[in-house]
Amino acid sequence: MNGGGGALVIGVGRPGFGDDALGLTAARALEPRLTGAVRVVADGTGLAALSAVEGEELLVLIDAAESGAGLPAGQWRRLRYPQDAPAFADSHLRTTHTLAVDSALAVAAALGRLPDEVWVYALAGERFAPETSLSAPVSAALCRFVEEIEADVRNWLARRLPIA
Amino acid sequence: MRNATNEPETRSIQVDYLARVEGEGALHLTLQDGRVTDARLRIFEPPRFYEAFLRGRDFREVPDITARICGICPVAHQMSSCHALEQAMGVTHQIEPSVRALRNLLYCGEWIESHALHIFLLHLPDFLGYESAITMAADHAETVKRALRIKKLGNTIVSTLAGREVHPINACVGGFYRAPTPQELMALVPEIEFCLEEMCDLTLFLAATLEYPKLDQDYEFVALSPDDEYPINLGPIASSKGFRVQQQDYLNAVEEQHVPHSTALHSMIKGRGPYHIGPLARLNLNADKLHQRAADLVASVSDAVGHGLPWRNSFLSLPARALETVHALALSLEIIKAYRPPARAAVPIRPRAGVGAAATEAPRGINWHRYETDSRGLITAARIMSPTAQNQAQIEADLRKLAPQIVSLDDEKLTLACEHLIRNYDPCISCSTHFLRVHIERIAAPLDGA
Repeated sequence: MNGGGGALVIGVGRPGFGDDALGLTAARALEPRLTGAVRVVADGTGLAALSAVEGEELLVLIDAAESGAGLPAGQWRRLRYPQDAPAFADSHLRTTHTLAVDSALAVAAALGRLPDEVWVYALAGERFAPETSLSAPVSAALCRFVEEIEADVRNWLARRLPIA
Repeated sequence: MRNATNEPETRSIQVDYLARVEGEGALHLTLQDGRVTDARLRIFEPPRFYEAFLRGRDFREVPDITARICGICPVAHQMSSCHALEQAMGVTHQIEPSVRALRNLLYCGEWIESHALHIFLLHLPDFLGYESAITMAADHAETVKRALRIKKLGNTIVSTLAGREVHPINACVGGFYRAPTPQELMALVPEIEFCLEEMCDLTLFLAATLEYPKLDQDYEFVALSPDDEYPINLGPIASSKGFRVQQQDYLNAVEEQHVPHSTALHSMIKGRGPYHIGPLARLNLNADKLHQRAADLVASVSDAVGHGLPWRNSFLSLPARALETVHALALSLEIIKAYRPPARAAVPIRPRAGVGAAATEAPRGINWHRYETDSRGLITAARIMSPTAQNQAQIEADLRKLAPQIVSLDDEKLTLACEHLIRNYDPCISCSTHFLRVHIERIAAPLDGA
């Protein structure tokens, strides 16, 4: 389906690279839950935000973050763009792609391609090596992470209001 | 310059990550007496263990596993592994022409998306004097929007044939799990026709408006060189200085060497030295095989950049890449309009013990895979030579050659100049490594008589 004022959810990451795959896993889990006015894209890179938006009013990006003192593995942050852009550095959004999510969003904004509402969900992982699966803290958090994104999107669809 | 103890002064400057390069690595430059005394492209990610963990896998798993080596050139790894394993299984000559055509179309999709991304978002900021695509996009929004539309088309071609844009899953040893219908491909035609015209226009724009730094290097260009088509999937491997070998014999001509400063292997022509692979090499060795739409632009582009082919300046990789994007778009149209579904999407294969090696042309150059299998079709040995690792020694040689032109620049401008040169090679360092840091060390000349 095309955007047409709904929501676009993009899972960012690489399969088979440990917690770097969590954005894809979360997006795929959301796909059957969010039908109708929501389009879900997995396997995207940060660049997907540049070209995938087709008139949606809400863009949701899901990506892995590098864990640290402020964000232990298995915890997540929900950020708004551009309001929370400075916090991206603090959350150490991890990307191995050609344009990091924050760079891709900045380019998209410069081109006037971003919807009014952009949310970035960053779940902290702890291993990103090839041929590894999701870590235990991420696996344990994933279900609740997905449920929260689903609830936020449903809430937005119902009220068309920005998240608090 | 001397310090208080009369020791030669050494200044080290740690510059931020080099952006706009896929992967992670580092460049260490040592400047002494106005000369570059050391240029080392370092790679500090541990070696990729694909070659090790492929051992023991069923041969049918290999294309989907190797596709995950890189998010930018998964098709290249899939195609090289498919061809090598088809050779090992003895079915190379059973692959139908229409399957070969679909493989070329899939590869065109990857070239289109990768080249458009690199030209317009990663490399163009260097030529226009911007720090990044972010600042450039604000001033050149229309150009970036046109480029993104072309890139998106490349993604769409890949997802139409291979199931998804990143880490495609439909290609297999023997062909495809499912061949597309003519209708599915014909649906792409209007957008390809539009983007072809756009790319022709943008190619002339890039040639005419950008200023290309001067560099004259005596490269040994190496590329696939089939007799009857521009190189993508097939053909022997040829060099501008004389060697021509079958794909499985590549190691008769080149060798890999361990270097202390990098976990990626350096590649050399045996008995000679570094070599250059990628769009510039392909174009210089195969310009007469370009699709007519691209060939029609060569004279105008050559006039605009001030050099006829062969181009011996790696900064001219950008117009080479643009011409190849035109070629890939025009070839895509041709393939789709002539497409007839294959009688069988994939050749049935009975596992056997065997050895196979094959190369295909990734967007950034020759991507060579070699496998050995046992009688059950399990992988017993795997070897992968990625394009960026092969270009690594040539990048260092280019930096030494460029150095006299840039050595008087301050560190910030010097760093930008080095980054610009490195990006000529569109390095996909995650195939062999991750991000790049630039480290400049300046050693002042000793005082006379010291």
